[in-house]
Amino acid sequence: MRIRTTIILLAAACAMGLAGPAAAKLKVAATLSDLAWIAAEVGGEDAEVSLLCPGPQDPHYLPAKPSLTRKLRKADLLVYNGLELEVGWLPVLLRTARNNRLKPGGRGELECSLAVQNILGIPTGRTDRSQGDIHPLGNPHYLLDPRNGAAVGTLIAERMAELDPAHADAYRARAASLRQEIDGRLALWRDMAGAATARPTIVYHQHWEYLLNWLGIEAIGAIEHRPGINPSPGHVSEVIALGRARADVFVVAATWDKLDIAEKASERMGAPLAVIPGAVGADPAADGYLAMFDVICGRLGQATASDAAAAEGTP
Amino acid sequence: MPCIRPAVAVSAILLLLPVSAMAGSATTTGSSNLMNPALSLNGLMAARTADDNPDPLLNGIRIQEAELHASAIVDPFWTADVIISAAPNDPADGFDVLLEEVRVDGTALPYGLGVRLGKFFPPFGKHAPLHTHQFPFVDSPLAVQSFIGDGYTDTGAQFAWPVPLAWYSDLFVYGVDGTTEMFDNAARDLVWGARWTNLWDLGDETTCELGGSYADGPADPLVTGTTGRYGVAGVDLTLKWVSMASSHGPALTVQGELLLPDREGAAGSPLGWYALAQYRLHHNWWLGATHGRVDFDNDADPASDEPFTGLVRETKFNLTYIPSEFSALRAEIGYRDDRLHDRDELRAALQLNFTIGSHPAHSY
Repeated sequence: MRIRTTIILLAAACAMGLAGPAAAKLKVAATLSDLAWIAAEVGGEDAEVSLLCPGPQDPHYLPAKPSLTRKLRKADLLVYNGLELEVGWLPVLLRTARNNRLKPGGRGELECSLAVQNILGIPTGRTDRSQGDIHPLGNPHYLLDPRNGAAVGTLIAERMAELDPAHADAYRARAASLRQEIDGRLALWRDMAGAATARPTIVYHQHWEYLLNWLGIEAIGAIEHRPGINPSPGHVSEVIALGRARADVFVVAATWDKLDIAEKASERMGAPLAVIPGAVGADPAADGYLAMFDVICGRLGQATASDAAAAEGTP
Repeated sequence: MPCIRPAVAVSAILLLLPVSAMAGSATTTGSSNLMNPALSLNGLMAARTADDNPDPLLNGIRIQEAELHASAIVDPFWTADVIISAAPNDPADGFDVLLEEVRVDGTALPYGLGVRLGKFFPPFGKHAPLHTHQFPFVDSPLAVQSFIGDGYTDTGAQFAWPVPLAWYSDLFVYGVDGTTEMFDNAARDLVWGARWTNLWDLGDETTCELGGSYADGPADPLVTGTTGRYGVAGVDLTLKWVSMASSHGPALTVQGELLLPDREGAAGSPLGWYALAQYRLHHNWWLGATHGRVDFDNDADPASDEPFTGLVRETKFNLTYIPSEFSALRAEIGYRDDRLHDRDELRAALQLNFTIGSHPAHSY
């Protein structure tokens, strides 16, 4: 009797042991809403993705709420942007989470900037804090070029496949599908941006370098010329003068920027202002990575189409 | 001979140049500086005046503290932090250099368990573990000064366990040597303590944190008035709201903490508390207000043999300008009603806080 019970218990335990991992979803924590969306697309039904920084929140300044560590504690994989975008809060959260699966350098953490071939905005020459809160490793907002989003999808798929080999093919197939979808929309998005692609812009924060590089838009100035530091009235006046000298200029700001300053500056320049989402969820209409580019390109196109006559007078 | 010496010297310099250049990239930890710790240095300077208190540290322009922080991953099993501070100990610009923290945190434990070894700020309440440059006001609250002490940092071990509840909940227990502030290391005994902290999200922008702390150890009779054991219990409540609408949009913190000491064999029931509020007015401007009080009851007075009983309370307001994440300017006024020493003090301070080096973490 005792032997029979033991055998039943062992069989049950083995069944649980075999069935457990197969049924369990890969738990992924993503720092940014763009990464969460991409990870969810790639992970599909085989992954459960949680998000640390909500879309409307400027990712430079996410409050490191201890409650966020609950998501990190459960995670098998952390996908993060890197290039020091999360430097102000992710180390604190990781330390509080005490999840040894996410240790630096391990398989459980993935810096997605590794997927990006061409990091823009790497400071050259003298680099110090007199230039503001600069990112010494380069501009971290590479997800605003959709081609980089596709590359990040592939990178995430490979790591998911490594952690969960049973679903490796599914992860890779979904990443390939995402890449195909993004590639298929690139021309459409450029068309939506319309006149903006032929006009110079003044940005609020150096957030849009990758977006502008992809669309071929020239940035001739920044209202916030030193990242993380309020622009001085003198500098804003200089930028306004710069904008007035170019009749075709338009201004770009993120939904979380200091819009009062951006609005006043664009008014005084007589230039249209495009307020666009800097992340998935930063605007209700930008509820996915692809939808975000619909909104971004659509708004750039609308803002610049409204005064297309001014564009015709480009010096 | 006089002609040869300069030539030798020049040759020696020329020979040393490549070595010096190499030394620029070589370190004692390897052949490059890639593995060096992240370093940051914080400086605090204050100009202060108190109209009814002759304490020289409250009157004059002083460096309040300079703090050097080195942080790095040791190996796959530990991270380490070393924090060294220098603070004035007398008006003649004398400074005490203190190893505030020298600690390692285990990173290889399963189930979210944590271990910290070394010298560290034991987790007690919300204010006591803060470094001076993190204080929301120029000085720590009276209740913290009186019943835990500024600089409650000690050597020992701390363990952490994530309590499996539906909200964020962490339990910390520790044992430290008991060398600072209220405790006396003359006895071969440890200070034991625990903290249980819980935090609930009330939406994306608001949190509520409730914590309870306790510490118990051999008392320092000069400070506590007992030769037995000294224990102190604390309860803290913090409500925090940070608007997501803008990078530097409005934000509000309301925090309160109650401290109840327990002195073995001593009469009386002292208690202390404070409440504070901080509000981000506009972009880089913060407004702060606090009120706190301590009811001493047969406490020891280090200046005399007589125990004292009485009330000290204070109210402070400050305005802080934070132009970047690396510097802050603060103006503060405060009123202290000290019935023990029969003083009515009006205090004012201007404080500069700056950090150089690696990017600071955004503490919550």
